[in-house]
Amino acid sequence: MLPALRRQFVVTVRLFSGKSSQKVVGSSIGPKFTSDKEVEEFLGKSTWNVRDYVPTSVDQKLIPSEETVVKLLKISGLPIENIDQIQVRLANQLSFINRLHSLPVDEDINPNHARIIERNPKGLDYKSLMDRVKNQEKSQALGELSGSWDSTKSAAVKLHGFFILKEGLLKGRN
Amino acid sequence: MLMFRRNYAKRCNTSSKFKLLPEYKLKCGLEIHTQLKTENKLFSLSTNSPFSDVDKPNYHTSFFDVSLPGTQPILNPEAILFALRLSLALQCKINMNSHFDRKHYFYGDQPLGYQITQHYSPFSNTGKLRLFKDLDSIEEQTKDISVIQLQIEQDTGKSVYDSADSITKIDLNRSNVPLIEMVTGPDFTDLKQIRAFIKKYQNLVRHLRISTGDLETGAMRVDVNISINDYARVELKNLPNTSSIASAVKYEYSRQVNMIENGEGDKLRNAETRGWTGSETVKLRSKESIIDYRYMPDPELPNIVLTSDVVDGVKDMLPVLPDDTCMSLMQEPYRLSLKDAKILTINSNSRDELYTHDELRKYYLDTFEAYRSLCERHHQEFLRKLPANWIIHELLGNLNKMEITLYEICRSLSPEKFAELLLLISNKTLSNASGKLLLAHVLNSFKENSFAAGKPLNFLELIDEFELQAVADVESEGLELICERILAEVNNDKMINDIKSGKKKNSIKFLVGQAMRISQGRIEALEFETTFKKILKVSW
Repeated sequence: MLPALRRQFVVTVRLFSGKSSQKVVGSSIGPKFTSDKEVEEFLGKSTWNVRDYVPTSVDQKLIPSEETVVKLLKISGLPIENIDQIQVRLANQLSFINRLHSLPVDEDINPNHARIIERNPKGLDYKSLMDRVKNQEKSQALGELSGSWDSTKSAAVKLHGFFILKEGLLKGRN
Repeated sequence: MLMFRRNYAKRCNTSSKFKLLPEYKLKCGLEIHTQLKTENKLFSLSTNSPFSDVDKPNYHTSFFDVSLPGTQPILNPEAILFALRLSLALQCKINMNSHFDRKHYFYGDQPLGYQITQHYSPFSNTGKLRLFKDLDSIEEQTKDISVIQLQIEQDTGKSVYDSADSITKIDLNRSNVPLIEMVTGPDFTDLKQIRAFIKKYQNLVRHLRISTGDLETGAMRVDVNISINDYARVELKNLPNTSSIASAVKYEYSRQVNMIENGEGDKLRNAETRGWTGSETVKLRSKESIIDYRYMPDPELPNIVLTSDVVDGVKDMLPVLPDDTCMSLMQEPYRLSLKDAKILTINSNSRDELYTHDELRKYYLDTFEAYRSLCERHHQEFLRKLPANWIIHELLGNLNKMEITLYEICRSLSPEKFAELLLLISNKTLSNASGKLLLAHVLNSFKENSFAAGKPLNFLELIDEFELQAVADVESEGLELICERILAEVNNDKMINDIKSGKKKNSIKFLVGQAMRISQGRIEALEFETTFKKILKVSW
């Protein structure tokens, strides 16, 4: 469990940067953790700070055009408003990502495998597949039992068990 | 504008005789989405039941299905099994390391904001489905339709637009139901091939038990890519059934031909997506409004890594495919007609309340074997056609008429019992006509007694009880007497002359029918036919 947690932490950071970033956290796979305390200490140790990579002033070259922002808002289903603010925010985000991308990384790792989960899972064989198909169990904790919870309970607008989308949400945003 | 569209629709009218023109070559490809009937959904284990609980919206939904923040997808292994079955049946190359990607677009019935699909590395590719002239009613002897790829993806929820209140009601019972998208090459050159392929693919997914394959319910959805000569392709969507698909292709072909002939071919240089309204195709999207889906590998799902062992294992468990079954039924020892072989092989309707083609084929094969061994044991001539004639025509006719299921029938009238009935017919204990009466009586009694297990069925006792024994040694004088009486009663010289001259050979059946009625079906029809021919001195 503990080494898995550590591995996941390293991979998470790798994903965040889009590339391998073991050097960012300053750790290679070392000895296994042996106690919760060690994990806490490891995670509590500040080796880098997000703020170090967030620009303090807007890089004008990175400001996306109004056209690009409108397109992004449109395909994200968001209202087309506050374009100026969004341009600045996107420029800062781009700058942050560019900084991360410029960090030295281990180029041997295939970036296509940049995932939170295991990169090279063991191949599925016939017996395992059939066993897994046979032994599927619904989880109450994941709400998988039909009717075990009311999925619309927290919805602000609902009707006879349906979620409701007001027409205005879909229209008028082109 | 409205006028123009109306006139345009008239020009492209598909109800008039449609013909492909040799100078305008039709080229089509299909994209078929098939809902898998796995027990649970694709990335959660909530129940996969998109249709049965229409009155309970959002009932089969897990936290993931409604996209609660913090939930993650977990792949249902049954979807892998079903995708393997279909890929192997379509002779596809299996991708031993495929993965899922996110396809982003915003719509109310897709709360994640993206669909999980397989864009960069689909599950399988480069397969084919072969169509045959005889089996599939196409013009060519054979035609291979290439399968470009198969990908696993999730379905969206369902939007029901309520125009009175200007709201859209969202039901997520269908959200995250597993789909397989299958894409063919642009290999179709006429409508017969398209119809044949859809029917064959539909039958295949039912045969493999991976989908209901119903177009009407949306369990199978077909999009058509169509182009003429070298013009850009047009994608046709919203095609709810086979007739819509055919009508939309006809309409679109005529529309494009008209445009080319009117010098508007340039308008066909860019790809576009069109929908079918029921009478015409209308533009949905063109190149300018093409959606940027911003595909990216899904970071929450591991690759689907397979070993060759799993591919071999699933291959070994595949049922014999419908084409092979059909062909084997047309060969020794069955030698069925193509029509009968298809009835036992192809499932044209998945609502099999009364019987499935699998059940029926098993009943036929078991009866065939039981009857053959009974004939051997009793040193009777084995009449090969008898099982098919009596099962496909008589038994099925009765099941449909009385609305009883083959499953219920099997409990009282097993294939072995049915074989006994066939033996009584083939050794002439029962005439054909009496056999039909007896079968109908037996089935009706089962139904009236609600198929309760009673006294075992004994055909000989029933024959005695109802005096249905065939009159085997009828004296020819007796037969002639009956036939002459009928000729006198009918008293129709024109009909008699037409029978004699051979002009209306079938009229003799009318006379035989009268004779069968008088003899209550206990004398074989052939005996009467021969006697009538003798009396009337018929030489044909």
